[in-house]
Amino acid sequence: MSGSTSGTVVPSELPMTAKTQSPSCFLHCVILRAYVGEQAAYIYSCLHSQRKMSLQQLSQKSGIKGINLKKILVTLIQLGCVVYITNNNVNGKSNIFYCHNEEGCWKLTYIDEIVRHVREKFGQIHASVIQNVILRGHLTIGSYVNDLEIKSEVDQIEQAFFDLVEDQWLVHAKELDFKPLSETFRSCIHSATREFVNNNLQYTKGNDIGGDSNPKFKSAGMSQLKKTQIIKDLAKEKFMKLYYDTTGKDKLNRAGKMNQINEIKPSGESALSSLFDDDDDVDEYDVNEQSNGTKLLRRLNGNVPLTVSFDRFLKYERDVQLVSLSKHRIGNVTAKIYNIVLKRIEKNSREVRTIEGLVDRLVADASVGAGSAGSSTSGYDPSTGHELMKRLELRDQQKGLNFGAVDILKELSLSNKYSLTKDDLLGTIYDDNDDEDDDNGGEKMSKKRKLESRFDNESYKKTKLSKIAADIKTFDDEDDEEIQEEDNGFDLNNNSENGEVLQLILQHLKLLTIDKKISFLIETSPGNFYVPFTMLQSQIPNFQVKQIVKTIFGTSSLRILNCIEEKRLIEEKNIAKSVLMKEGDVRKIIATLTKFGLVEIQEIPRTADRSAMRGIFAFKINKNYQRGKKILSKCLMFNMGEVLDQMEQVKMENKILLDKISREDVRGREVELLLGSELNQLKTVIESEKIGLAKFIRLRSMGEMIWFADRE
Amino acid sequence: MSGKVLIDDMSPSAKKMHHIMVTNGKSSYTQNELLSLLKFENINELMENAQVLLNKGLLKILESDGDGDSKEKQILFAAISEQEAKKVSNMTADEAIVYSHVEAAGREGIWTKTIKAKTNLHQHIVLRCLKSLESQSYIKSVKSVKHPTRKIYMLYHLTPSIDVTGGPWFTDSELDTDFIDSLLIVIWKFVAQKTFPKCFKKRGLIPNGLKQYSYSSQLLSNMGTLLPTLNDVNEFIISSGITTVELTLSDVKSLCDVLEFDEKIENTGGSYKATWQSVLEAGGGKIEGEDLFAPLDDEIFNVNDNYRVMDTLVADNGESNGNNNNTESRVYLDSWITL
Repeated sequence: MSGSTSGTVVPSELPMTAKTQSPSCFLHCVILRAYVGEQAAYIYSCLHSQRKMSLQQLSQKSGIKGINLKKILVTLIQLGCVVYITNNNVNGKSNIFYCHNEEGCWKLTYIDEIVRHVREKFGQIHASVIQNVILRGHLTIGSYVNDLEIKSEVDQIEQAFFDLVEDQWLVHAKELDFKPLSETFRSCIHSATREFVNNNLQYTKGNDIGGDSNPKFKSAGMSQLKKTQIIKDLAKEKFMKLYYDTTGKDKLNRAGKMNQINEIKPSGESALSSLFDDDDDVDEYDVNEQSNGTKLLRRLNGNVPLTVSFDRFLKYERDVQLVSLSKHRIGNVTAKIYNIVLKRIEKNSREVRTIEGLVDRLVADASVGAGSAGSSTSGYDPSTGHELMKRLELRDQQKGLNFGAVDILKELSLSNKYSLTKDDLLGTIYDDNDDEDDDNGGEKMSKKRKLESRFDNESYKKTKLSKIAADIKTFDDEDDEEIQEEDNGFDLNNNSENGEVLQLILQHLKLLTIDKKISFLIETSPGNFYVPFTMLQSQIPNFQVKQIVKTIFGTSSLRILNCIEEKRLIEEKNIAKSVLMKEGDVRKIIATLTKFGLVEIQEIPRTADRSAMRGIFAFKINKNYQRGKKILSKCLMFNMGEVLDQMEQVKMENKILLDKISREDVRGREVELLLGSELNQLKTVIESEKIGLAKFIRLRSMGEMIWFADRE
Repeated sequence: MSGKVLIDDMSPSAKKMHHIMVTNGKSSYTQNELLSLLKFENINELMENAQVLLNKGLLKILESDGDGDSKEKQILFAAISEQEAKKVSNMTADEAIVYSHVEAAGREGIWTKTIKAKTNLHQHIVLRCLKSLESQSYIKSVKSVKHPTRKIYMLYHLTPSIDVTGGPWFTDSELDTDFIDSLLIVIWKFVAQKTFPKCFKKRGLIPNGLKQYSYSSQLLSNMGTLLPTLNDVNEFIISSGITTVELTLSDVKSLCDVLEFDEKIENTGGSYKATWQSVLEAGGGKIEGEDLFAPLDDEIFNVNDNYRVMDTLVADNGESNGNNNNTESRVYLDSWITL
């Protein structure tokens, strides 16, 4: 690393503080080190230790000099790992402060999964597009296309961009993305206050009678509290407007329309802050535009910077987790049907992290007006949270998010991607009419087979006919069921087979509604269901914590935890009695549970002097596992960092060997050129890397259900 | 011989009184009851006879707490059988006192220190008496679950009460975890068989090559017609005869509770339902032709997949090292805490 300023020496490697100051810092530093280098990770860790820092402070703390530091910061800001605040001084000079931002780091943490899923869903080109967008933070289509070497791919790339924007994986970058939320909210409060005061002065008595000014701003005789409330509401409104800012999106689409009539304005006023308005880019783009004309920008504005939506990814990830849970709770086929349900509404479902909850907190903390320099004393009212939950729960059952069995059948008949065939579905639900006797079982089965084969033939003809009509579909033996159903889809009710399938689907959906611990689905009226995402999000983290407890501490720990939860407050002897375990074992387990913040101790004094000798100690669950969840999620993060760190270490230890095999003349001829011992060494290195990655991915999938859930 | 002497010495009326009291079956009598039963003319006659019997050790006087309307204490008379009286009459005075206390403690037993305090005898004497009584098989020492360190005595022929033994879960005052665990497995399997039809035949494969086979939600939730209730579980245990230990309904309930704590079964409106996860973990619910340890390409890792995780985490070894529970490679949790 480079030299130092003012005595601070740049450490030769990532310092210990990056690891110890917080688990999330550690994880993200390790990840940043892998993607953008050690210095960037170091800067990130320095920023993590403070709320905000100016360039000078940062340079002093880190010891990295101006130009290098600036380069690093620009990279980090581009990736969304650092955000900045611009403060205007009294003398017109502006100060810029930098803060760390986790969003970008999360994207990098999940890059493999995002790319993998996009490849699976759309294809290789889409995957490379999204990968490049993540690695650069954000891109305009124009500059992406411009960098292409093979111009023939342009159309495909554009289509890829279009598909990804359509499916909300790529969204336009907003100004908000480059500022800390609290800072944006602060400016909202400022402007709200200004607006209130201005309007308030204009507000006269005459307005009361017939004036057209907003009565909201009538402040005469109003208490300070009320005024503050109004300003806060106004600020929240402004903030939400900024957050759901659609100007970029409009521009993205509007340009598309304009392009059709060959009218692209070289738009200099991109939604992005001036920091990234690289002049070169625009110039290049202009050239590009001229050279390729309308063909290049068929549908989307090439000038709007796009970034990957992590929220979109979280929706996908949540659904995958839910399907996996349902598979373990109910069964394979039900899980597949649930998958269809979730995929159907994935795009339109609620976001995993609600901005509203966060804003409500900001509102509660905000201070309004002069003299209230610190944060407000009223704090966050839990009832606000409850109200929000109720609102979100209602939103979950909005129009469009409801469905019935027919919808699922339709979905199945339309597409083949759900890897569920009719054969899988038939017979999965116990039927009263079925004979339970095993001897008859075979017979019944063959009867069913006969039925099916007859069905096959019949529909085969139909398929043949319709093949001509719709030449897109090619009949394939393997996925026959789906396509048949589509052909028969028009007369759903007449076909007895379809009736049976429909009934089966309905039964599976119903199975999803009766789970006691996790309400996968809720049936609003007979045959109508919706997915209660909000409810699920509060149920799943607790469920997940318990499953982790069970896996890591053993079944008996889960037993005791559940016992304490059910009895609310219980002392050791009674626990031992109700879980039928030895007291000594119980004590050991409780000690572990207490250590991890899952169980709390409460002293119950029996004498007036509260003598410890006579008192009893009872145990209870930490409220809603708050503390346990926090500790656990941090443990998981830390361990992910640790795993990556170890992998890095293994690489360093075997650096000579790894360098050797990456040489041009060695590559591809390892067996000839390497010694036997070296080959063995290579094998163990690769092995350990595999293990490391598997661990990393497992930890990540365990943690994500806790990390991104609603805060209560 | 001495027994005969005991009775022979007495007047016929006293003999008759003792005989009636023993044969009538009641353990104790009030004064009035005795008067009407024995048709004595007056209290004095009763008292005389009672005194004779008392002297011989064939009668004891108890105090009742006063039942029902009258809160006053009443004097009760209880007959002592001849053998019993003979036993006591053969003891030394100290032994008799100790014996009477042990007898009074009944099935709960009595702690040596309590005997000492109650009798006001020296510890050595108490111990000597206990020793001699024990050697004659009049009393026995039992271990208490509540107070494992105390030496507790009770009459030889009595079975210790549940408080002392700790109920059916204790064998020799040790919690019999093996017994409990095997009962838990039996109950779970019973419930699971009722919840998931035909999932336990053919080495846990789901029948007919299906990928899932469940009861419909109505059968599982509404009526609970198929799911076993607590009574069903109890009956099953009794009828199967898997244990000689007598289990009450509440014992079975506590077993079911434990299974619920283990998240192996769930209580749905009074009847029990096994969780699918527990079936999977027990090796049931397999899909025909599916490799349990095959890599899951299109699925995310779930903690609950633990049962199908291979130890080395590397699938391509392919060898059967699946059941080796090496926790080292799986423990992800503690390092941050111990940092």
